[in-house]
Amino acid sequence: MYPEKSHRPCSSDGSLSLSIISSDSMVEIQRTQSEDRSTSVEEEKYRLLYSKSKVYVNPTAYARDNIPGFVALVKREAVNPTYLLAWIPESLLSEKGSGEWDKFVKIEEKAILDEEDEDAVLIDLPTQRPESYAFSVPLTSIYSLQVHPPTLSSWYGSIGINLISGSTLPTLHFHDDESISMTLPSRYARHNSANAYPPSTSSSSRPPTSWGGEDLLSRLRPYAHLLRSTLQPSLFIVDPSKADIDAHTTQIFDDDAVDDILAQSSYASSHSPVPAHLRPRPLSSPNAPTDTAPSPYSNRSSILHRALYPPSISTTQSNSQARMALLQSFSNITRATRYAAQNILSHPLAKPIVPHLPDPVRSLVNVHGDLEWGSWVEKGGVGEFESARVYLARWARIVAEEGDRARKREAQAVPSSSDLVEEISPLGVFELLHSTINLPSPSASRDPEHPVDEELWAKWFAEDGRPKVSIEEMKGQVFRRGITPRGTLRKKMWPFILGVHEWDVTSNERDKRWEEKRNRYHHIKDEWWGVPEVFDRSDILEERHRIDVDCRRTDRTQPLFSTAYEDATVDGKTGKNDRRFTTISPQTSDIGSQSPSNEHIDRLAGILLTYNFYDKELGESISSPLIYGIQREKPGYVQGMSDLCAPLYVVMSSDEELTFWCFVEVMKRMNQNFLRDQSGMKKQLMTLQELISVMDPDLYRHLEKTDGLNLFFCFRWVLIAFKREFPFDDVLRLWEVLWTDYYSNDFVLFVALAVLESHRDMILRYLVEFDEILKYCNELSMTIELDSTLAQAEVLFLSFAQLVADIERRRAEETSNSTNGVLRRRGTSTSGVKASLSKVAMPTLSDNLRDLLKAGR
Amino acid sequence: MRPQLLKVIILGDSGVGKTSLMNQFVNSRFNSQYKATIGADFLTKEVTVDNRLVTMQIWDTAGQERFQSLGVAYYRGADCCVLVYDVNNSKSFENLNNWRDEFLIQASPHDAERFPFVVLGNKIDVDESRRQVTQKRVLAWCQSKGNIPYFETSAKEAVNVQEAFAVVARNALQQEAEEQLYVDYPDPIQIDRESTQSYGCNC
Repeated sequence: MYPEKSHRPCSSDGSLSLSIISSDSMVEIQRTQSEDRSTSVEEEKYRLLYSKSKVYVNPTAYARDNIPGFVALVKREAVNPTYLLAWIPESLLSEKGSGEWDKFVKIEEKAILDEEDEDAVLIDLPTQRPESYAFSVPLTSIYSLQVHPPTLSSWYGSIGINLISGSTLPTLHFHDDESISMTLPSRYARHNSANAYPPSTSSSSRPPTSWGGEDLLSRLRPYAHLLRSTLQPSLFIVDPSKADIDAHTTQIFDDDAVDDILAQSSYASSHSPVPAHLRPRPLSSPNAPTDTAPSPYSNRSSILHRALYPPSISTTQSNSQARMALLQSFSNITRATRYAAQNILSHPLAKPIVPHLPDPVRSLVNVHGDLEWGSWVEKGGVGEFESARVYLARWARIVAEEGDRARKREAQAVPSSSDLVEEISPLGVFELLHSTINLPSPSASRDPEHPVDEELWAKWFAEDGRPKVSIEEMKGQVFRRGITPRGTLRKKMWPFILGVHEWDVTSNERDKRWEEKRNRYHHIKDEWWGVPEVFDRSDILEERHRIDVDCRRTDRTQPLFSTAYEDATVDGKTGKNDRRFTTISPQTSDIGSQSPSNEHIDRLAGILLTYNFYDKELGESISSPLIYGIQREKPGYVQGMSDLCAPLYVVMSSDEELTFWCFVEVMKRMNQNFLRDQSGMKKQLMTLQELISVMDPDLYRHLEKTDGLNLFFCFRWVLIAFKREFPFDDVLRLWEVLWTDYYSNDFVLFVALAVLESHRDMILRYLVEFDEILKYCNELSMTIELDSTLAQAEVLFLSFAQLVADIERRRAEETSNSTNGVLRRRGTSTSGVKASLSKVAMPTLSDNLRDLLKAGR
Repeated sequence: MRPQLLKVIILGDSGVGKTSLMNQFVNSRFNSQYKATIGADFLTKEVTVDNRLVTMQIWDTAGQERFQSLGVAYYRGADCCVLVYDVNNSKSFENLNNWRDEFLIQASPHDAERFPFVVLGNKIDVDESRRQVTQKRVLAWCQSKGNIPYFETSAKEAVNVQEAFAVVARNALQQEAEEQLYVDYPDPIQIDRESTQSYGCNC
């Protein structure tokens, strides 16, 4: 069945002979003693060359069944040494005692592999235990490796191992975030990777090896030739035969053809600026140069490249002819690659792969005719969310989607004036305006690498504490650069950005006013503190309970909140006033399933309770300018507020008064999010929806079809300003940018749009139900790269502002020419392109959208 | 063939353990520091009910009542609703009425009277002396609402969680089958008339 690999002896070069018994998912490899006289079994030495921890085998679909282990490269010492690839579960290794375990750890921590090292680490040959999935196989018995680097939707990369015998070994999943070798900063000079989780694949901060599987491949390379299949980029053939080489080097497209298209097309600077690190890009081998020459097309031979620049097309030919030729060749490609994909699956060589495929994909094997990629998705259904979607992302995205989209983009990229009308609808207004008016493409101005530091901050003030720069200047700097996390600069600056401290005054004046605020805080707090008739009132009891349960589960990984009370006997009878009026509610003292509290959690709760009274005071005495026409309500404590307050408490290094007044300012910006009738949230999501409709009509239509226009999957993002979507330190960086109100008071909506745009391709292609989009968006949490997202948000804002300006200009032109206006209204325009263009494309800008251009409060 | 999807909604006051129950059921895990749920999320689990493989999609929502106006997007098409309270917090029990009413309004199932609910009294691992709601009181309420099945659970110690969700699954499956009737015959009055007629003919 399988092509002979006659060029190399198969397991006949050592004392190891293998008999492989394959049952469903496990492979048992029995080692039998060989007749080879040169080495006796007693003298067999196995040298550990490479080891990597936290490589998992997943026997079932449930994460709880995953088995952690070590993957290892082992050399059997002999005249003709054999190299073995092994996987040993942690449990098996720990059975052998700590000595053996330490060897694996030691080798893993070692950066350089040195076979001749004097302190060679000898180990027992890992035993074969099918029931524990352990294996060790000579490299010569491996036929191919199925390599899947980590993606956004699948955090952990994996490698499947197919043996020459046709059987497969359990797929190895690389949990790099848990593994020493990938998290040790000393091993590689990794910059900025401490917060990167999952390991960043962006090219700017790409470490020498981006994930554990790639590392393993590079370790295998000295011992085996790994040929990457061009048919299926995730397939690596180990020591390929000639037949293998022929079968797997057919040029369908070069690895970087897709990227070339992206760079070539309007995509790169278009209205959906997907950051480079999110674009589909096949795993590139670490040795191969990935950078291409400036003008690579001339020497490309792949079909895709030839289609991109067909030799017959010269610039003098008419545009439409050129486009037709392009369209033609792209559709050929799309079809060709689909068949190619299908052929791979049906090919005998692929047989070892088939068991690894998710069911919907497996069903394609032997299917003929045109393939409906969409139907795979439907077959996958909710239950197979992971497998089917992710698999499709890997295959279909590269093969079909790019071909289709590139074709569409090429069609759009060369509008001649006579073609404009027919191309309006798929383009969307935004791109239309860009392509016709030649507006400069906006670019991001942020420079987060150089945050504002203490030195610069000090320079901004005169000796009397009066600032030498304007507050706008200061905020502009913060928007572009952020604030250094070192020291306590944030604690100094945040109160200014938020407006707790006044800017244009001397420090004396400022201190005086701050003293007033401090006193005011305690005045408000004293309304409940030490006043049993208030503190124990039933409505306050309920409020205390709500606050307490949430504070106990907010940011508990922060050092201030992570410890429990040393004195566990918290109850009213201890007599001390500060314990008596702790906000811990009687229902949930430190017993039961609630996590225990501590003094900081308690103070945080106290601040939130005090805010209740401050807010009440506000409601009674001042008519708030924030909400027009609605009677101001007292929101009280609402879930989410603890998320907004806790980071303030941490940054203000537990200063109660500062935290309180910063929180007051944050709530001035955000209290509409917490109204009882949710009108504020609805308004924000409505605005976001309108923003999508003008900026990305395709996405808008897709959301319409999937019942997703309510944008509830953005609810958490907006309600608490992405608090749950980023690691704590990133949240601080994001918030200070948002608070500057530099471009827009609602910049958070542009951040939300930026995140959606980064994932629009996945959403458009694969997510066909509201619940799927919700799940997908919820799971983006902690995977979003902050700086590229902010850069995108900025570009989106600038594009939006241009769009608005342009629409206004056209409107003005339109009204000045009333004749045209009449014709258009009747829909009988004969003046051709321009009239129908404005008729079709001119969106109405709602007040909500116009308000997005308001900056500064 | 794709297994049947059963949609289950978990409701109850904030902090009663909705997220914990869901995670205990789906992942057999407990963590005392689940963050307060903002918005909504769901997990899926395949289970076998009476030899049928079904996928349960369990929706976990925010517990503060003001977020319930968003419920309509999540509740639609639900096959069963799990009402959770904390046995150590009587207020959370008293609120079950509101939760049930609110659900019926927003989900608007065809037959509100017979829509399956299951009530869970959670956190029974907490010391008995702190208990605020007696079994008798709960059972009386459950009976008054059409004999809602009741379980006392501990998400922390995995007590009764699987058992409770087995009943949820079974009742949801039954509900799904009944809803299917409405889908096939969109106008229930029509069915009645036809059946009356056919009876007439037979007699």
